[in-house]
Amino acid sequence: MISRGRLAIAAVLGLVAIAAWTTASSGASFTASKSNPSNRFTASSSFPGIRVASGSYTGTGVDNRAITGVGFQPDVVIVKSDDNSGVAEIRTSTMAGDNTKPMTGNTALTANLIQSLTSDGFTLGTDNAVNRNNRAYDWVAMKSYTGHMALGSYTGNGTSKSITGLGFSPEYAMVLPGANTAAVQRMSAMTRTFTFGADTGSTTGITSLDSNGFSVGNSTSTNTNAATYYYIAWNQDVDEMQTTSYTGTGASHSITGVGFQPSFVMVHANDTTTGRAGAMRSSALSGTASQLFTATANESTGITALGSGNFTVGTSATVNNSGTTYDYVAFKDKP
Amino acid sequence: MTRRFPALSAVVVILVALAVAAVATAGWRSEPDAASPQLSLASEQLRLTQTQAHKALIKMPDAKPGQVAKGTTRVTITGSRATVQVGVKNLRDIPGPNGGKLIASQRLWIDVRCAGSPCPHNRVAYRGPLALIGTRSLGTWREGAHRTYAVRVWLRRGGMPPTTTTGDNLYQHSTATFGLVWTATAS
Repeated sequence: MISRGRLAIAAVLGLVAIAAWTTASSGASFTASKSNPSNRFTASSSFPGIRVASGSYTGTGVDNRAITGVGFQPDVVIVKSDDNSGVAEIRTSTMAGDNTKPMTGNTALTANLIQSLTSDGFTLGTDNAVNRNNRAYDWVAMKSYTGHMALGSYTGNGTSKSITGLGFSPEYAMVLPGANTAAVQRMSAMTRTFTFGADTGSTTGITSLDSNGFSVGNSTSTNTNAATYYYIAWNQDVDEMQTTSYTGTGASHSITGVGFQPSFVMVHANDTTTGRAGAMRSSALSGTASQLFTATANESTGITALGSGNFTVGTSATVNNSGTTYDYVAFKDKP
Repeated sequence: MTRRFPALSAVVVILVALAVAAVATAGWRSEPDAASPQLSLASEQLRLTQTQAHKALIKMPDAKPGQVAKGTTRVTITGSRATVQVGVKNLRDIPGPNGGKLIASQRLWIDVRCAGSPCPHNRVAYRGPLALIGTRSLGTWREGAHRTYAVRVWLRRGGMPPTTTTGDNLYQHSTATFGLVWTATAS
């Protein structure tokens, strides 16, 4: 016979078990989870920036000549003959169709020069400025990188205008008119806007480099009403783009403080009394040669070398007249 | 003559029974990473399944600033209506040669959002520094509901570095590791 006490205990145990089961199966405090462990994010050991490549070729005079091996699809290509076959030519990815801008002179966008930008280079027409048979040419190609370099276009209003939305404060800007007015540039140390040729500057071109873009005055090179302008802007970076000024001495010397070994250097005098053409040198040039943007043969006393953290200027007045202030911009490939 | 059961013994037995019941109940609560619980007598046990369970969603070995690492997973709950949450665990910074800590600096961001259909009206569960995600509610799901979540992680650009070892460059070759935990609680 089962005692009343044992019956009571059995009843209590049963109630407890039922209560526990009921609580659990109702899911009142029931959880389930799954995880994704070991997610891993590692930053690169070298951060990229704008791409810069340069090279040389010999003209053939054959249309649709493909120049390849650049290593990336360029956003900008500059071509200049080693002789006086033509002025420097520039093509941007924002220019549609077969159009290239001569960098000096008052020439509108022109066909038959740099005809297109391709996945690994660019194609040439038959114009002497870029593809004269048996003539030597040098090219520089750049690819933009967000926050470091920006390209775009705008329509002029004939008065003044601010171009915004670059996402950075540029230290160097080029404006390339679609129409027959001169291409211009402004580096942060320049007191005026200068063409790429010999000029004394303008106060109504690129009037300022701003926090998120730049402003233009009413110069026909930057702001004719209803005209189209293409621009390129660069952001200074400690290891890919540097711009500042130096004072000429008349004697060959090294311009130090670049911060890196440049792949490409452009120089223009900040001279408001004597016009001096701009000069450039890429790592593709050999010896002491550098190039002017005008239809002039290479000179040997301009930018004579690109070094580690510096470049050297010779005695040419384009880059080193005693007492003249020059501005430069130096670029380095940053893959 | 009937023998009386001692009252003290009865209390002890009841306490033991309660303890056994409590342990049994606790056993039904699943641990993270454990297989979903099996409760043979319950007809509506909560289960959470995930297509990428126990696998990393983010594997980025060579990220540039602004470059996004992506992963997706589909989360399903069965057995019960439940509130669902996502959180992180085991956050760890491994600084690179310049000393930058991706998580602690709050420069490493994460975006967790519902992708495809079905999704709630507000698809974004969280977007911000990984260090601050904590636990984020994904809402209450009906029994049998599933959602696909996209997880994106990136190093926020910090502008042009002033030197080769500061700014963005501070984080060169730095690593962050972390776990993601998806939890459902029956409701």
